[in-house]
Parts: sequence; C-alpha cells; structure tokens
Amino acid sequence: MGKAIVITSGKGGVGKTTSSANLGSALALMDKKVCLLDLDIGLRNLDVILGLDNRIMYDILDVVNGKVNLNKALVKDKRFENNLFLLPAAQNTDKNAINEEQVKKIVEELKEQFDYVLIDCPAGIEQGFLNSVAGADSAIIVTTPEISAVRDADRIVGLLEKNPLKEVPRLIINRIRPDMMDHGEVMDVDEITHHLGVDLLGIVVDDDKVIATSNHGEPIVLDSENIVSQAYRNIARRILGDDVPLMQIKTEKNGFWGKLKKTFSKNKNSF
Amino acid sequence: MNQVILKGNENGYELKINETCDIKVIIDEISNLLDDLSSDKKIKKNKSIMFELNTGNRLLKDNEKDFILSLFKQYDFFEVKSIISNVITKEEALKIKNEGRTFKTVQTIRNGQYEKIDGDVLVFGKIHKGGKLVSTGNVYVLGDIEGIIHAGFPNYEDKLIIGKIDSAQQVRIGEQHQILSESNFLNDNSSQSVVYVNDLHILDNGNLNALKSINPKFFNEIGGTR
Repeated sequence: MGKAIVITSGKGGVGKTTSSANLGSALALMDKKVCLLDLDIGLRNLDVILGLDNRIMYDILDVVNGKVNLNKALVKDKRFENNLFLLPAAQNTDKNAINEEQVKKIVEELKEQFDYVLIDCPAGIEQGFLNSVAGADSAIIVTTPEISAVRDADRIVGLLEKNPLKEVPRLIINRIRPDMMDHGEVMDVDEITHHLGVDLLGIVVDDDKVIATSNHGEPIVLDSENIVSQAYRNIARRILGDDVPLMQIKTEKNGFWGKLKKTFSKNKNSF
Repeated sequence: MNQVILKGNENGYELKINETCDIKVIIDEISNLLDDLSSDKKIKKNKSIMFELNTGNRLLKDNEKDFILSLFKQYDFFEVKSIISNVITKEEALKIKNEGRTFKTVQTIRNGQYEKIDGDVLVFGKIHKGGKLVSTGNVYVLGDIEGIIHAGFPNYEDKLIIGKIDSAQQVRIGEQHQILSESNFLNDNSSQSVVYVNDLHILDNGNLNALKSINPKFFNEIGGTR
C-alpha cells in the first residue's frame, strides 16, 4: 500500500507543478513506483513539464465517468522504465466537474499499485483544493520567500490544521535567491519556517535552467549536475525517510549558506 | 385528582402545575379553572388578578407557553405575572456558566482564520497577519499579535485590550478601530499597553499603570480599590 502526498501552496506560480514533476521523477529514479495525479482540471500542465502532453489519450474525467478504467488512462513516462506514470487532468471542464469522493476512490486505487501517489493541487482553496487533499495522507506545502506566497501558505496550514491529514504538513521553500535573502530583502529560511510553524522538508534555489529544461519537457532532476536537481533529489530522499544532511553549495555567499546550515541543523528532527 | 393546584399568597395567586402530567390535561384544567373563577361572584373583578405559574421540574415549550398565556388573555381581569420553573435548558446553563469567565486560547490564528469568543479572553497563542480574534469582552495579550484584535464586539465600548500589541495590524473596540501601521497611535508600545475608548468615543491608549484613571470601574472590579 503506497502513500499519497498532495503538493499544495494556495498561491499560484510558486512551483507546485514543477515540484510535483521533479519529486516524482526523483522518486522514480530511486526505483520507487510513482503516479503523478494532476488535479488542476481545466488548466493542466504537469503533462507539458514532463513532456507527455502528446501522448495523452484519456484523462481523469474519463475515469470518473467510467469511460475507461484507471490503468488505461495512465500515461507512462518511458524514461523511467516502469516507474513513473501520469494521470492527466481534463482540459475542457473545470474543478467542479469532480468531487472529493471520486478523487478519494481513484487515489485509493492508485495506492494499491504505486509506492507514491503525488497529487498536484491547483492554486486556490476552492473545490480543486478540497479534491486534492481529500485522498492525501500527507501534504507538502510549497512557498517562495515572497510575503504573498508565505501568507497564502499560512492560510493553507490553517486549513490543514482544521482538517488534519494522517501526517503533519511539511514545507518546501522554493525559488530562493541567495543574494536577496542575504541582503534581507526577503524573509530568510529560518523566519519563514518559524512563522509558519511547519517542519522544513527542503529548500530549492532559483535557477534559470529549471524553466529552460521544462520548456523541453524534461524535468531538471534528470540533469544530475544541476543544483536544483540535487535539491529535489535530497528532498525525495527525505520523503523516503533518509537523514540527508544539507548539501554544500559552492557559492560566494558563504555567510548566507553558513546561516542556512544553522537553520538546517536546528530543524534536523524534521528530516 | 387536580393536576393544577390554585394557591393564594400575598402577591396574588400561584398555580402549581403537576410536572408529570400530560400537557393536554393541564391545559384543560387551567381552562376550567379560569372559567370557574371568572363566574365566581365572590371574587372582585375591579382590578386584575395576578397569577404566577410554577411548572416545577417541567420546562414548557414556547408553543405550550403561548397557548397557556392565550387562555388567560381571554379574560380581562386575569393576568400572568410570571412562569417559573426549577429547570433551565443546557444552552441557558452554559450561558450562565460562561458569564464573567475569562477564556484562554493557545492556538495560532492563521491568515484568513477567525475566532470568536463570548467573554473575556487571555491570548497565549499567536495571531498571524490576516488572522482575527473577536471577543465580546476584554482581550489580554501574552502571545505574539500580528493580526487583528477586536474587543467588545459588536458595540461595547467599555472593553479593553491589554498587553503587547505594537505588531498588530488593527485594534478594534466596539465600533471603533485603529490601523496601527498608518498612525503613531501607540503612546506606549511596551507589553503593558492598555487600549480603550475615551469619552469622545475615540480609541486611545496608555500604560497599565494608568489603568485606574483610564477605567476606574474595571480597576475597582478587579480589586483595585484605593
């Protein structure tokens, strides 16, 4: 029996879909069977980031409506042997087309076949959000160091506290720009983690290559040299329960990374 | 056997109603009783006669109460002074229990969340930006406040907010409000600020040391008689 993890944020554009694609790929590379479930119905793009958009035959709505069975709708990512599959969102309808019960049923079915079911949640806190958390065992909250993203993450943590999942949520701080953080122009990792009161799962720096590679339908995780790739691989290992120390990143901003390291050693229990 | 017993006392009449008897029987008996009384020539009808209804351990429903009262209204000279009972609803009991009580809260009120409390509240927890705590009574702050505190909801202007509130977005008492970032409102940004509504119905603030002059009534209530 696998585990379902919802990747959510409240705010749009913080990297939910990118994180879903990369964590899914990273877990698949570690020989776990992973199914990505895109619930951004009406505005799907997890398929595009993975480069699987041309190969979609059926979508989640076809499964819900009983048009095809679940396995027939799954799109296999051939780069990962038999390890990574995608259940695409529907395009020509909206988030209200399915409900929590239907999602729950699909997630339960997927959990029987897969080690991990990663649910890509749409932005917002409406039906799409409710659908996404319905079947999940735990949540990963993605935020950026921007106040608006942190504020929305706070809202999400509040909602998850009111209706708790099996496990407490964990936090990914994405798109960190070390120079800005170092100059105190944005909240630092410690401040964000402390403010939200959520365990830190990992941090990801901002890198142009993330956009460049996803434009080719290739998750950054496949580039083993890249710093963001390493960050996602580390996060994936932490999801598996490994105790991963903070990676050393060669940067001129030694002061910042020193500070960052301190943050991580403080939060060591969370890894 | 009579299920409704008429007794006279110094203030008028008392009707003792059997608490175990079917309400239909009670209504019939009251109706007959009033009929008899009204035709009794010994009773002076120049001024109205007051009844007190005692239902014992029975709690009358609203419609039962209304029906019984309507029986009395048929006569010009009969009036119901009060309906008394030994019992109250749980809801009412809870209300009485919570009156004058100080609640404590340790939770974090996050962005978009709203917590309403009937009574005074002692805040140990945090209120994040965008979170709101609303109380009908006073608010005493020990935790970190970055959101909105509303004391004396909806319009009790005699309530106070006491504690460290310099990081709050807004403070509100009754119908008055103050946006902290847009003003030099706080004279005292220590952990001992007292926010109150002054005689001009404007929000003002001072230090806890000045509580006696700020709100003498409250000061005396909590034992500060000097």
